[in-house]
Amino acid sequence: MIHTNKMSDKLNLLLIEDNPGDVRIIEEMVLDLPEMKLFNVNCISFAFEYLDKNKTDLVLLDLGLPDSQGLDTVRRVVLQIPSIPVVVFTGHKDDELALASIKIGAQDYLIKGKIDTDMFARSIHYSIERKSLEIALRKSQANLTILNEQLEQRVIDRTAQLQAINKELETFSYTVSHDLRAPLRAIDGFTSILLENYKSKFDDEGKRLCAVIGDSAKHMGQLIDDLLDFSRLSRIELNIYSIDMEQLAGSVYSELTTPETRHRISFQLGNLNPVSGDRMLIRQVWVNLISNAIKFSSRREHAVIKISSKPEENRVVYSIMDYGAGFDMKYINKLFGVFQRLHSVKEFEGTGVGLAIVQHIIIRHGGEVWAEGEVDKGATFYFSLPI
Amino acid sequence: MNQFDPVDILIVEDNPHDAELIVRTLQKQKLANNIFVAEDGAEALDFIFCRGIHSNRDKFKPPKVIFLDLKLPKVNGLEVLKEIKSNAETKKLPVVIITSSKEDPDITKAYELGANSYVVKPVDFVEFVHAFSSTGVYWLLVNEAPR
Repeated sequence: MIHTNKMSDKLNLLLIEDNPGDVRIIEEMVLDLPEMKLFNVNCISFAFEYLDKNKTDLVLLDLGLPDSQGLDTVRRVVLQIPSIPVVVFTGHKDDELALASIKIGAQDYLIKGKIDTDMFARSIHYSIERKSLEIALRKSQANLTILNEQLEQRVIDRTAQLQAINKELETFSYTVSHDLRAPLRAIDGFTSILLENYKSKFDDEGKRLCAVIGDSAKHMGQLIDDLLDFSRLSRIELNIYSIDMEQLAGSVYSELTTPETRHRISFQLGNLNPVSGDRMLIRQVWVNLISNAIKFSSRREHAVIKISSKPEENRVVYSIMDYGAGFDMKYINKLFGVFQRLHSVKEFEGTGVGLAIVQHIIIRHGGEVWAEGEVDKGATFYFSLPI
Repeated sequence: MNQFDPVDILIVEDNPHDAELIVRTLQKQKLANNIFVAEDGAEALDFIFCRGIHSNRDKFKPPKVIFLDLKLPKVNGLEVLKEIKSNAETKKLPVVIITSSKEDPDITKAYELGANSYVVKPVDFVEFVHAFSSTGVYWLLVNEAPR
């Protein structure tokens, strides 16, 4: 940033100095420096008046002025003109004072009687350069602070928005479950009463039609419940504890079966590795997978359901295998979708939410789900949980 | 039904279809001959405290059990419950909360206010009949009321 050619580009220096001898020394040096132009005032009050009206690139400051002495002078000047570099100009006994000046904002100090023109020019240029860097730094720091504040505000706003949306969703879920269920209850209830009170007036087709109405109402009730279960999954927090998977899978199987169904099923529960997870949700995983295995094996005279686990490097993989209806691998990408079914309601009942819930729970635990199957041969479902 | 007859069951339910299904279920079980249905919370309170249009009722013959829906016009179920349970004369009356949803955010609040039981009205009519007849049997026949 050395300005040499044009007059208007000259560096305007203001020398605040009351000693004519010292002024002369500086004047002589500036004469040798064509890029600089010097102005002189002899006290702080004139200096402030001058600086108010004139563009100034640097202030040379003596510390023994008639209206201000010592460090206080530096402090006052730096405070008054925070964007103009200040170079302190002191007597040779004032080294400490000079150093202290730099600490409170002066760019450099020159000791009277110990400077030559080159040194003077270098100090002036360095000081101006350093000051402009300092200002740029201060500006970018201020910008950074503003950006930070804006970012924080955005986080606060967004969190509030999300909380409001979550609250709305909860209210929505409640309303859905509450208000949609009432008419369904009336449909099933009054159809049953109709059938009961006017039994003699219905032929078989009439009775079948009433049954269709009732079944549809119940099915829709189930859809509403399943959908609510599924939407609730994303909102609840996980409570992670260690889980005895063997005990859990075994107790779920017992709950889902009766002595009669157990008689028909060969249930093979291996030694399962324990794992950490949310007990309630992992239990739901077993409920959905085991009830699927039972459901899709229901047409077999002798069903087999095999549950096992295999520890891997940083996870445990659990699997449940059945020799039931199976599925076509062609449709594997639809298997875990919400309301996706690979069997008609006529073949096997269901709403198509069970596996979507399984996938959702396992993914929330940081694991994976996958499956293999073959039509009429059976299916194996796998899920992994991190350890 | 004559307004001076003792009432065994008070049903507070704004949905007339739900009310009809409950009444029918209880009558079929021969559980209660005298059932009164209040359609909103304000009427329920008038009935319980024998005031307003129910000022001629006999105060000393309270219902044996109250089936109370939470979502009600005018005065909601929780407010009705609060009044019943904060009054020395009525706080021993068993109150069974009946609701459409197990998602009801007010379940905990209702228990804190002193609800005696909580029943979700099932969509499936077979389950519905089972829920209300067994609840009716319990509160009218099995349970011993304080004297």
